[in-house]
Amino acid sequence: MPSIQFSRTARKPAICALVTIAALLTNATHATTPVYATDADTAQSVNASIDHTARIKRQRDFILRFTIKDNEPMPRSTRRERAAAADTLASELAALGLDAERHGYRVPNSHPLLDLIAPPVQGVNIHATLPATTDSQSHIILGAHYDTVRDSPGANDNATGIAIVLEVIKTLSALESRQHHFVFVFFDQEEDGAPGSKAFAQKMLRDGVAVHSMHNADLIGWDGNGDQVVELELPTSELEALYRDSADHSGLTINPLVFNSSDHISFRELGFDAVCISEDWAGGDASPHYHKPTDRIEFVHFDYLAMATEMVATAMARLATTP
Amino acid sequence: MTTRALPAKMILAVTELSLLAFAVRGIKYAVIGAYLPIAVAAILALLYYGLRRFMPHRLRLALRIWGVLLCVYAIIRLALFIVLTVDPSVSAHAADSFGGVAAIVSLLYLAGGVYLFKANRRDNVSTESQPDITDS
Repeated sequence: MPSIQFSRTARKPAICALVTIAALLTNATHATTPVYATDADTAQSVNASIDHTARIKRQRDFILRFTIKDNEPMPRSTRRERAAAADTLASELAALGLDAERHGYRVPNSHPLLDLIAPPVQGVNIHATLPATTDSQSHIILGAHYDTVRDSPGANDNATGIAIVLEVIKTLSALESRQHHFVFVFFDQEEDGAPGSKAFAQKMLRDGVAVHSMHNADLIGWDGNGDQVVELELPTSELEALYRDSADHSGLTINPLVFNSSDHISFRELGFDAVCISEDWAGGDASPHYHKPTDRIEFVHFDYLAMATEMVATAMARLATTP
Repeated sequence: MTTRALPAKMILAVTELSLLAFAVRGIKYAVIGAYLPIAVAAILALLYYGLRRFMPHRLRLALRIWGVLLCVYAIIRLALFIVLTVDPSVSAHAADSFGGVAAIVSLLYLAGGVYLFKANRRDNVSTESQPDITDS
């Protein structure tokens, strides 16, 4: 079998050619994963436009009016309480210049035998879309649930998640260019098995919506040990990289893990990429007021919440500017 | 004969009302893609009308059993009402579903069940002596 022999003079060009081919192949491989906008542009411009103190005040004001009325805690558990909360959220979206839509759903109970004695599960998701500035079919969903367990005002669980979504809407609305449509959704009944997000995910599938990814903010207002760790549940490697970069800029540390709970699971189950951002639950730094009547505004760590908001806003802005 | 026809009509009315309640539930669930309730309602309706048509002599026994089942159904619902009143944190949907109005409906089921059971007893002479309820 004849072997290929290079002369001494021919070796250098051959090595150069091989190196070039290898470099091209490497680039081609990397090109299969999306390259998000770099720190220097989007992230910095987003962060520069944010007044941290003003953001904390806005979030505090929102959580106050969403969880307390006439000095009484305002849970969002019964049908009537949730209906009032849904109206408030529709008004919040309208105040941000978005047309809020109501996605009412009626679904069977979690067990078929329950259907024989109980009525169907029903609720309302509130959602709005911020359109892309380009001719895009891609949708990015950012959501948070708005219901609570019985007798809990749910300042941390999950008015904090909603506060993040509302702030991100402001950030994204200010961008000159958006390569994706952004769907903001407030889910009903997460505390009751997440039928709201399941119904919404099925609606996305049924309507043939091209979902780039789903991002869920749930329970993100407690940092008891001050280590500024944020959990990122079920991230794909691409989304993990995106959030790690964004967290670096916000002074947070990401703890990626698998934890099958909350509304993003409804999307994962249907094959969509979905992540959840929350406080360091698995790390043992979860709010001691979780699911209690004491889940009140005075126990929300607003500085931590604002940092997490900045991280999500940066991540969303990078996605927005990346085709 | 007219005085005897009235309770027979009442028995049939109560039975059919209870079956109608299950049929309405079945349709509500069928619309959203869950078919167990409508399957149960269909089986009950087939049994009821089948017995009336082909085995009328068994109808009283069947209605008695249906009366017992309705009582059990009502008691389960009432038990859920009590449990969820004591501890509503179990599930917001369940607490909403088994509140005061549901308890009243459960009492109606219970009353219907007790009535069907008592009205179709073998030792109920007045009922026994009535003409076949399928003819009324």
